[in-house]
Amino acid sequence: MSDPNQDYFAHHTSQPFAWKERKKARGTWRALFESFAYLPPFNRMFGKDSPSYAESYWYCMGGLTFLSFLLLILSGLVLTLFGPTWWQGTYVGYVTKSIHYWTAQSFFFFLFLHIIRVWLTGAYRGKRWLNYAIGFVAFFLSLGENLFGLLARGDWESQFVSMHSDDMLFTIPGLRLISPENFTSALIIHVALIPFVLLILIGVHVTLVKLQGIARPL
Amino acid sequence: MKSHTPKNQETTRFHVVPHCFWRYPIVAGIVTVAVILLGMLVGSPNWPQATIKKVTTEQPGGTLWAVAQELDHSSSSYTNTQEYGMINPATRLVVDPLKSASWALAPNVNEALSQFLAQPEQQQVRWAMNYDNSIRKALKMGSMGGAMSTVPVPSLTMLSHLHGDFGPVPVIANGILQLARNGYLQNYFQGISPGNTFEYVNIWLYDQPYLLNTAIKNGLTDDQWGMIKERGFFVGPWYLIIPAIAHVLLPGGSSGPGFVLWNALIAFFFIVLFPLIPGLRDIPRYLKLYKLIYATDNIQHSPLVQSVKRSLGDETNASI
Ligand code: HEM
Repeated sequence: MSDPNQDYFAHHTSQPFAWKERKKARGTWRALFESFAYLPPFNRMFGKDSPSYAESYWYCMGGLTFLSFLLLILSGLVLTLFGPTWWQGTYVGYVTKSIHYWTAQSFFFFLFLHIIRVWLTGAYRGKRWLNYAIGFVAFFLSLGENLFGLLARGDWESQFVSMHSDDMLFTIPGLRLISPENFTSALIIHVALIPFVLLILIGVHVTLVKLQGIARPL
Repeated sequence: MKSHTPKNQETTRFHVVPHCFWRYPIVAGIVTVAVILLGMLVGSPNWPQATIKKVTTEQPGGTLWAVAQELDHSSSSYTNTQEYGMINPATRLVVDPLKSASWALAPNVNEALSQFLAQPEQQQVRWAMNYDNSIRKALKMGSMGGAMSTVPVPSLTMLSHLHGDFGPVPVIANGILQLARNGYLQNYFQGISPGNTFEYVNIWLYDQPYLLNTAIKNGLTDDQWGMIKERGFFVGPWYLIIPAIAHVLLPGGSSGPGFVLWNALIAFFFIVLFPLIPGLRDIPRYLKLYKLIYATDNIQHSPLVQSVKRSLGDETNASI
């Protein structure tokens, strides 16, 4: 390519579906599973090439964290619609709550692996530090989100943790006005306030990865 | 293939290759199915809440003792008086409920309450403290139980044998016990705080030996790494390990301000110091563990390239 700018923006042009060519180049199964990337809106979103070192599964960990986040929102929306009586009193509600629980486990599992991969590859160097910091703020905020989720659950653990934290974390001036045994406010903080901020932070994080590209190898 | 090998030969060599998009739907599918299956088959922690009725039925002696502590200002609810809605626990948790139920209580309880309120606060506290101390003595306790050991619970028989200058306090305590056991107290507390239903219920319950004792037996207090555990479930929030370490191991971390300070310090280290300070930020380069992360470059390692390289001699360090 003669014009370097052309090269850069090539990522953002839509790609033809081109099934036959892809099938020939990648084999039937790969071509089939890769089809989504050649359909709207993804055909304009993803660059189709990547540096070879980034082809390892370690580079999927941020994406799987993101997937878990979407699943958390989805299962959380269902829980929000039907409410505490439903998730505590019915089997389907309990299963939905359990899926939400395990999705949180998956979120943090992949997030820890993501952090390890970012550290070991020194991906925070240079201009990527900003995104590293945004990622970390999102991580700590997720831990807070976890606390309020626990308080909003409405079981024995919520009850005990509300009082135990009331005598520790919530004795601090400023924080002590908060009443952690306030189920209603914990629920609002958990389903509306923190997720809203998290959504923005994670959105900016993922967008920056897209704009800055993946870090060079060490 | 264009070669993207940078001039600096120190860095890992690579090529730009078609990205492995086929993995996305497969891995996403596996993860989604896994969390759904885990939710269906393994479930999640779901231990029912303790109610005032249940706790006082199991440990009535604990309730009488808690009333003494609420009246002598030594109960744990005094930590919560800064919250919106919470006032002096003696009034909120003992006197007001009894007043509200005067129609249902035996005359001797109402009389005891009037006798109690007729005295100045100093005298009220002295009576309650005498009762509290004599319970402690009967239980053979020191001035304070250790944080990690459970607190003994007095039995009703044991309490009925205590004698001393308790004034009307034991009768008042028995009035609360009665209201607690027949379910009135829980309804009363929920009713006076409709926007924060569990505020007084939980504050009241936390004054009982029951809640903390149960937590200690299950290894759930903060000092027992309870932050990363769940009651009756094998997987807890293990990812809270950093705050948990700050709380359990670091000096001062068990107090509220110490806990927040340590967490802020740890966050500062990871967000600012580690990635920016020369030396610190270079650790991953020296560790060379990135070799475990990077995918091998199939082109660099293809037999053809390898044989070309060999024929050219390694010192050329050629990249194709
Ligand atoms: C809160 C949830 C997070 C989500 C959903 C998320 C998502 C992502 C995604 C999808 C990528 C693309 C590359 C990859 O997956 O490896 C990425 C890259 C990156 N993430 Fe995160 N991340 C999160 C948290 C974090 C945290 C806590 C850190 C700090 C350690 C961080 C630092 C980075 C950096 C520096 C990159 C650029 C990597 C590079 O250019 O090689 N992220 N993130």
